[in-house]
Amino acid sequence: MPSQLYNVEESTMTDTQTGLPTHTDAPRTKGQAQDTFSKADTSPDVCLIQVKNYNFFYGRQQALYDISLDIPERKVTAFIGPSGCGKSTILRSFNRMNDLIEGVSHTGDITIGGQSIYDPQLEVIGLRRRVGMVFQKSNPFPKSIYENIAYGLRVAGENRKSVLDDVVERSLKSSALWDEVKDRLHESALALSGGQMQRLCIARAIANEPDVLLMDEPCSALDPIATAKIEELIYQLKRDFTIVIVTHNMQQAARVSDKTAFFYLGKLIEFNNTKTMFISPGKKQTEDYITGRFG
Amino acid sequence: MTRHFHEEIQGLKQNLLRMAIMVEEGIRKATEALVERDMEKAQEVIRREQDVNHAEIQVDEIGHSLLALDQPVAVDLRRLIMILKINTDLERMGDHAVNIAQRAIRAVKEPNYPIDPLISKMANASSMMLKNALDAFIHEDVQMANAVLASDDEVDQYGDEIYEKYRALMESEANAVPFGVDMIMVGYNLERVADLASNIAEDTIYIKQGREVRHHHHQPENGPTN
Repeated sequence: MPSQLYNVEESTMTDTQTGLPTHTDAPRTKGQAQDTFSKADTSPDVCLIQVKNYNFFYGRQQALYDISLDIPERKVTAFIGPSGCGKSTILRSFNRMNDLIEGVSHTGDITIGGQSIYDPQLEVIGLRRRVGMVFQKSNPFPKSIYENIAYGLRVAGENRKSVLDDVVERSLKSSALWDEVKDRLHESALALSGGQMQRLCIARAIANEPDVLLMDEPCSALDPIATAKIEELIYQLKRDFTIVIVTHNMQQAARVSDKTAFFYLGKLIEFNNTKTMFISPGKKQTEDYITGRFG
Repeated sequence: MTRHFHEEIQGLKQNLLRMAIMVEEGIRKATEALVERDMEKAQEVIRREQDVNHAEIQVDEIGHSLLALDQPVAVDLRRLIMILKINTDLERMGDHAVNIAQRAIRAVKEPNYPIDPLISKMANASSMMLKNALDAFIHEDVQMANAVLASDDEVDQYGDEIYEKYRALMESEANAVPFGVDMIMVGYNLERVADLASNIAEDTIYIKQGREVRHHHHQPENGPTN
């Protein structure tokens, strides 16, 4: 059975051969019940992304120092820390976006579902399909709302209208945008408001049914209402996706995430349940940062 | 837009109400144990105190998380802070129920002294205040909350009468002093239950209108206007 996580060059590889956990093949369960009375999802953590002794360099400049952490599946993990702490660098490592920068290098490893993202057999495009990304500034294509979402599937060779219609509707519904745009799907995406554009970009990212959704400051250009809508959307999306979010806004990390990692000067200072992190952090440095005493 | 925070606050409110039901039952059973001189019932109230204590900690923990993680503002903030405050008040009422139960156990050993019917009347009036205060809180009904505040005088009146009756008993019979003190203290416990029920009513007004009415401090309504 071919792996569903990555496009590997040897399409005959079995799960046993790739070492991929079987949960990647399990159907997504939409709308799982949440514990009403607790902030964090209390289901046990199943690690999806594992970072192992990871060092990262821009040329000679070291940006990350010996990072190790396990990111749980179908939860929201937030990366916080002052500018230059390395939080975006590590986020962009997960789908190898940093490869686009000249002179970068790394040691250590990152695995997703048990497989190294640096596996020479791995196709980077396949990785990026499984690890979607939403950026700080919304970047819709200068196309219709419909085409923005259908584009990725068309590129992958899917042209059946019924399939595309279904994916567009499902993705827009999942990103809480359907009701606002269903009557103007073929109008330009550039006519949407900033918050709607960002939700469109989320819809575009989830149209490919990724396992992981990376978000790099997804609300920093939005007003408070649009921000609240995206935050609520993140809360809903974790039922189906593993989300990693970088944010300058500590309050946002507190509101949306289950786990929080605090980075400082390229080092991981503390990685903990968000509730613990914001009520009683384990490290004084974390407490000083989240209470505004430095940074 | 529905926010999951609002669902969680609703869930927390349900937790608080479950605790309130335990406390109401504790006060009722403690008073029955006293009037009926029922040792077993009194011991049951004392045993169940730990359930109330456990519920208090649970509500506190969830409330603290919501404060830290969701940073509520305006009515959301008022509602959450008042839930935490009511939580403490309910736990304290549970302690008063235990105090009454402990005096009920001692009263079983003093069968010759009467338990005045005023104690039952006062217990009923205090329990009714608590029930109405909780109804006002659930529905965030200011009118109902004001009615609760107005009914506190009746409970105080019962308390004064109980005090006079047992003072007279103690003056006439030295051996009745321990029993008389216990009954006066039961009156005090019931009066405190009523006072704490008044707090819940005041908190309800604060949630709804953002208006401070504690200690006869009457602020004009300053909630948002349309």
